[in-house]
Amino acid sequence: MSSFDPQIVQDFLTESGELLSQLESDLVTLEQDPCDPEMLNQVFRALHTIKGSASFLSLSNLVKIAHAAESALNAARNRVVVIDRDAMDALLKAVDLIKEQMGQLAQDAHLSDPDDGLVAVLTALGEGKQKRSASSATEPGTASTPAATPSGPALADGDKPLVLGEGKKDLLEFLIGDLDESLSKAREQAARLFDAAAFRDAASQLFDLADAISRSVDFFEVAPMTRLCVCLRNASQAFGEASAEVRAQLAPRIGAIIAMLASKTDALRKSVICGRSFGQLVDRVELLISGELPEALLAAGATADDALALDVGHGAGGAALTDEPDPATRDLPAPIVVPEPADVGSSVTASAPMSSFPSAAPAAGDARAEKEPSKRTATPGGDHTIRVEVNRLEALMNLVGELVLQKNRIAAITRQLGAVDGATQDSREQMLLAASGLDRVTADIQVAVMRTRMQPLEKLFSKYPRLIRDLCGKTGKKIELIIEGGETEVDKSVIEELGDPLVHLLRNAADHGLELPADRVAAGKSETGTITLRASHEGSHVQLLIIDDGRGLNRDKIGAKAVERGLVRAEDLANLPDDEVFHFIFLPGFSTADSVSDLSGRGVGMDVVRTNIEKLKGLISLSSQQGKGTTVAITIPLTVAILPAMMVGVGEEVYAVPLNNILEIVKPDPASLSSIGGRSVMRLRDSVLPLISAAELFELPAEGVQTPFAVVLSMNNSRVGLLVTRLIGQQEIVIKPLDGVGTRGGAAGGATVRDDGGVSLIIDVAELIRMAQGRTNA
Amino acid sequence: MSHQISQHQASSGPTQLQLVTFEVAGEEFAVDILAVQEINRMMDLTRVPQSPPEVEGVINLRGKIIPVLDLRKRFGFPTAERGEDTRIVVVEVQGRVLGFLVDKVHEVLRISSEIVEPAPAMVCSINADFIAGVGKLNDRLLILLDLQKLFGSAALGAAVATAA
Repeated sequence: MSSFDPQIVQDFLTESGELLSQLESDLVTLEQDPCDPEMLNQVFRALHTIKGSASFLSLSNLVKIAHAAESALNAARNRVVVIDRDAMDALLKAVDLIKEQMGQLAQDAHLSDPDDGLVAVLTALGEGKQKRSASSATEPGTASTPAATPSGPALADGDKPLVLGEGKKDLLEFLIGDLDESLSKAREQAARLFDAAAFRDAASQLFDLADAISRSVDFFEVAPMTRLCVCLRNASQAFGEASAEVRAQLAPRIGAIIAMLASKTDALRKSVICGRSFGQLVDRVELLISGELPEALLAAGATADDALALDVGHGAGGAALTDEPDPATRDLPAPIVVPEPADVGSSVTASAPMSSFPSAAPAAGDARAEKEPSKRTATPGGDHTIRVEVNRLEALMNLVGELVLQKNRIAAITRQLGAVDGATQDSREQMLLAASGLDRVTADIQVAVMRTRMQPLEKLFSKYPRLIRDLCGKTGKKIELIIEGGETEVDKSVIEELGDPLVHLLRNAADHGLELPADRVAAGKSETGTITLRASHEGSHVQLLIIDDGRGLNRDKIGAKAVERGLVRAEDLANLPDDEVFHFIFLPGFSTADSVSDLSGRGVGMDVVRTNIEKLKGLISLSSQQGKGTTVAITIPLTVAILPAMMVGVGEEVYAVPLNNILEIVKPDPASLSSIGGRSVMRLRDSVLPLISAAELFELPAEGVQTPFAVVLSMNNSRVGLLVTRLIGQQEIVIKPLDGVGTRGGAAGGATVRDDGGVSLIIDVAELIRMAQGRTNA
Repeated sequence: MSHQISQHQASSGPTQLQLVTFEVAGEEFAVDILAVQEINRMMDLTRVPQSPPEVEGVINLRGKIIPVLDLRKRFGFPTAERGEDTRIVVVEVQGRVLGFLVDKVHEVLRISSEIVEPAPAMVCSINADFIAGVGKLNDRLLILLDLQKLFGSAALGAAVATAA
């Protein structure tokens, strides 16, 4: 490992990590429809990319397993095998193993050996392809065409420099040599395609060569070349089964593709990416492979040169670029004259004079450019995204926060200016205009910057089908997971914190909520249980629902456990509303499971859920109906960086209280105040509310501080009243960490900057409630 | 930054030191100018509960919340009212930005490292560890502070521990 630049290894880990998680969810999707060619190709491509990068880093253990999985998928792609449950298990295991190996790579440890049994299973699947690839396995078109649809960035219109990573440069020469060799072999085989006796063998040889060429080409990451390779591969695969007319059209075009590849390889040798366009050639080959024989296409001519002239255009053939075929050739009858093998052989192997090609490129490029844009927008990724370090976004976010504060100050000064006599009416108005313009722009910037940090929940959700699938296997239940609203976007930090809670909740739903198929049938439900994971925007919040149609929470069981643990007295239990009883399950160590399984039962999960959701300043609630199912609702703010808050004054100080947690604000009647065990409480309607004095909390001098208001705060069914002096108003605040101040916990959960430039502490409601509870218990 | 001072002292040839000098409780101190980010007028401090005693509070320094320490408390001097001349000197120590209160900022000085001597053990009432050296300038005595020892993570960690 040490021989490689850590940066390269890091890039590999990031890129392949993303591919893997996508791969995993795609595989599960694939299982629903094992013959979906588009999905098969997508999975294959992802695995192939990982393998390619890994072999570049000489991670032979990883390559071995990836290769085995890839050949199994290839067999499936060619419809030789069908991905059944066992095959899928093996594939998923392979993905797990690759993940594990990548973890080891990240720690610079030795990569674990590929599991030989697994490799054998996958290879056996792959074998199917080798037995039948040369015979009649493939329906032309269906399996192979989708692979040829452009997947990478669109074609370059002109030549551009080849950019290679530092580590790859040393290998450049070697790989170009390799490519040359493969291409010259391919040329020989292409010549044999015209031989009626040998074309099947030649096509199968070409298919293998195309694979070899792809491997070399993948290294350069030049999308157009990759596309040519895919096309060559598909064409040679389909060639053996094609009708004589199609063969006659295809053979010269295959020659043309090889010539194109050769010219592009030549450019690579000079570290330039050849921008020569070939879209029409590829399109026509694809049409041919799919078995369509449009009249207009039957004009290929007999040799690779002719095909090049027609489909790519150089010299006099440039006119043929238009969709109108050459009038001279249009009248030709469908069966094309099969040329003398010797004649063709010489012209193809001699190949076209490369030097004359680049001059024709611009014209071909322009013609192509007209057709390209629609495809370009349809392809994902490519140049449309850019990786940015999170630190930079964070710095930007901080600066925007500061900009907002400065804007607030300018607005405040502008308002004051209105009262100053010195300023003329006109200049005041100008100033107000400018200030409101600034206001608008800063608001837009703030939103734009926030959006850069937003990511779709899909990123999280894509992991869950796999989770549920594995749970089905372990529990013997039949579960369908329905995911809705994966496109809902939330702040990156929210995504990070949400991962664990959702896994716990889904596991709970699958393990505790849903019944075994037999029990479900007995209860009059369908055999398959359903878990719905639904995300939606609710104003400035995101609501997540985890709904199962299982047996529901057992109030009696939870109640009994709560009594047993001394959380509630048996006689009070009957009076507690359902949701308060259900909330006991969020307490650490609380579990009603009779036995601890490897899935759940330790009473840790729901505590994690609660803690993480609290951290996000979110709320969680439970509703359940015995026998019908359980719904867990989580409401979280879109972002944790900006928070709506109520500003309150205590003595001279000003504090921020998160608005989400404020139930109400009351002015307690002195008669309703009393104290229990030395702690002050107030009667609020029919309940007793513990009170906490903000002055005491923040170590302020308590004398003479009037606290006429009680802010009633709640979090997860616990309430506390915070006594304050003044209510200042609502404000959107930017949360700043209290780093390096050396605090030891306490009720300050961060700080924020007010519009007058001063600093206010933010009250940590969870901590406050914990403090209040600690006191009453003590 | 302040360790540069000691390095200069260690090297044989005399070098120029550029210092910011200020006054705390009647004594004149100096720190390397490279460590100083800026000097601000006194502003409202927000007190933070559960913080070490010498942390007076936090301020907003262009969007960043930084702690402000009282040098008098750090040195064990009697506390005094803050006056017109009170300033917050903002420094960066080991990647952390923090401010400290001084009674008055004097000037920026250029002195030769030759006139800086190691601190005599009993030079003043403050902990000799905090002192990088003493500069004699005509009739003035300048106390060069070692910011690493004064505000470095080890020093503040200890302060937190004693406060606990």
